Amino acid sequence: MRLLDKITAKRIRDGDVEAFEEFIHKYQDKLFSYCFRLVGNFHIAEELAQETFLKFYRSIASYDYMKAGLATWLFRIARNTCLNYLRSDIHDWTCEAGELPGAAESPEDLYLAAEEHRELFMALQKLSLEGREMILMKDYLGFSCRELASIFQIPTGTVKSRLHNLRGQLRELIGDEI
Amino acid sequence: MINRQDYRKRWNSLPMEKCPPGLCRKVVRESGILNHTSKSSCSNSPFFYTIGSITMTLLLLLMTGINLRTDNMNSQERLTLNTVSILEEMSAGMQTFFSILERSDF
Repeated sequence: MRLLDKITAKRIRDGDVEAFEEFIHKYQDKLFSYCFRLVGNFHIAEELAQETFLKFYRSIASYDYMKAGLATWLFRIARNTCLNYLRSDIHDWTCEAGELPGAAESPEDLYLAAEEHRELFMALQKLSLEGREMILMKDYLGFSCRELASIFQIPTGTVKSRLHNLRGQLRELIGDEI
Repeated sequence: MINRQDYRKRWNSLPMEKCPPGLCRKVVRESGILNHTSKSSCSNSPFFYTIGSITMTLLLLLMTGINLRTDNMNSQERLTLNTVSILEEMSAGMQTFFSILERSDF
């Protein structure tokens, strides 16, 4: 896998538009979802995703495939980009239940699913920023603990113990929301 | 507190957001990758190096053969020298091939 990442990075660095487009298509939904769930605004999430890809392209020369996978590296950039935005004073978390998609079929199911998702995200907002990010990356985007360790630059054991605590907190918060 | 199964179910039922259309086009346009001047993809490929090295080796072999034909030697000496030269050229060709591959960072 890492060798493939190396080849992809080299192709993008050498100006291969097709390789860059393939890469964007592969990760754009995942990246956009991450930004959207973190900032809660569709348009800002789009801007942050775009900024992340641009930063990725501009710094591709410094990518070292021995240190991290390409996706991990992209999400490390995404994380910094989102954190910079959230730390600035212009943000406001405005996610509404209507914006959350539901996988249900009937209007009742749709309402219940939207309610459940709303509860989940309202509870998520009560976690620390790092906790929110960690839960999103693990439980929503499916990154492994090892990849999280690389993104957050902490040991894998620490990731596991933090996740355990965070999930406990979140389950309790969801219970409170109900 | 909800149980673990319910917790997992909630995350699993949450679909991935769809990225707004046009993001890829915008990123590609703004990144400047379209104006990037680089070596052509053909000259970067290992296939190109392989073909190039084989052609170069064959040319060297041909030149060696022509030179030897004009030498004032008997047939046995010429044959021995020819074989040695061919082996030398082949080895040089392979060395060139591997050094190019190494330099190509592939």
